[in-house]
Amino acid sequence: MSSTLKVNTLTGVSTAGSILVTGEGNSTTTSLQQGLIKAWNRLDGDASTLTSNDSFGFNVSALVDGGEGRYASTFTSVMANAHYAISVTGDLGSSGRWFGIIKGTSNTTKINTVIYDHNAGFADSDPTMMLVAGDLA
Amino acid sequence: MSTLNVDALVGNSSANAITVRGEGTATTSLQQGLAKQWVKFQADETMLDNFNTSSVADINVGKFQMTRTANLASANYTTVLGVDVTDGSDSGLATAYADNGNLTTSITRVLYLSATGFGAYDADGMYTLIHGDLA
Amino acid sequence: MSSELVVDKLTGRGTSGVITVTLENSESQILQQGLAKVTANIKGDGTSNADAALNVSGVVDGSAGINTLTISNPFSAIKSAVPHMTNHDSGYNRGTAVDDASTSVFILRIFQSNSGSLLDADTDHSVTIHGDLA
Repeated sequence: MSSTLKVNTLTGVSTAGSILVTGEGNSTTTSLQQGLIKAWNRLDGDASTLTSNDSFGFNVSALVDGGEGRYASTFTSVMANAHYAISVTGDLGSSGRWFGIIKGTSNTTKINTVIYDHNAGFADSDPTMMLVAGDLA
Repeated sequence: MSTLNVDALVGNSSANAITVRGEGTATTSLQQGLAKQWVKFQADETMLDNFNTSSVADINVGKFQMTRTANLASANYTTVLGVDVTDGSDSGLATAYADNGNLTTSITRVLYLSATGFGAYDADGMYTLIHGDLA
Repeated sequence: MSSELVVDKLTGRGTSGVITVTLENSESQILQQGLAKVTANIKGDGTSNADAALNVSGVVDGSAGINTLTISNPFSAIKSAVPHMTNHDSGYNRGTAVDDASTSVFILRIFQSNSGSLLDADTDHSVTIHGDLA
């Protein structure tokens, strides 16, 4: 008979923010907290007004349209530093798209995504997705 | 409201399998849903922040290799990548690939291509996020 | 001495789909929202590798540069999922794109970087999808 724990909150005993989970190999453990994604968002860059699907995604409180191909997502809970790992991707559009974040403008409170077409010009994309892994403040 | 203070979670029926009730009615796997590695690094091999990454090596222009602290079970994991680009400057555009010939249980090699000229390129900031089974 | 809980399943007590986790720096977040709901390592021949698959029902190899990924447990609404895709290519000349056709079907595209044309390049690619399950 399998067991089920019903609980509201998980907190580490030795260190509040550290809980280990036995991995798929049945021996190595991994960090629960570090393995969790801290923010994700999906945007419609083609809309006349920049919109986010699913009510701003997860840990995103606001959007700013910086012009064609440039979108900013503001974190609800800020990151501990600007050195988080990100992934940005989206749809092909009519001729291909390159996705990234704008160097030097993303910080603990927001992430600035940028999209170019294959001719190196700014280009909107629907959808545009972003994903953040790292430490919350 | 209940709070569980615990240091480690282990599956009961299978040590490596804990199910989590999802946002609706479906369930998902706790272990499989956790990222097993992530890193932000620079072309000079500096890791600005990381999880389960022991080092980054500069192999060649636009080629970098990450070594894990805890290995994965096989070479069949998912790697998604990100990159810093320079706003308004053609020389800063880049995109990233996972190098299919150099994905192993212990290392992941990634490649960066300039979106103008399509040559190998050292991007300003590079990111990797990996999901898969731990060894 | 550290404590260990041996359990098969975690369910929120107040709300089934909500378990709060205390994080680094004493922040907290919802456990379920931080978990990837789909992971897939798809080969160039349009097949999904079983080792890397989470919530993958199947992959169909379509016309040039297009694969269709179907998942077992769908997302809560159309266009609410957050899919990410990266190409595995040592040739420096491919791009990727992903979009969803429904709550359980995702269209994956590979294109030539210098033209934007779809291309069946026999390259492997990774997909990771976050979002709320139904």
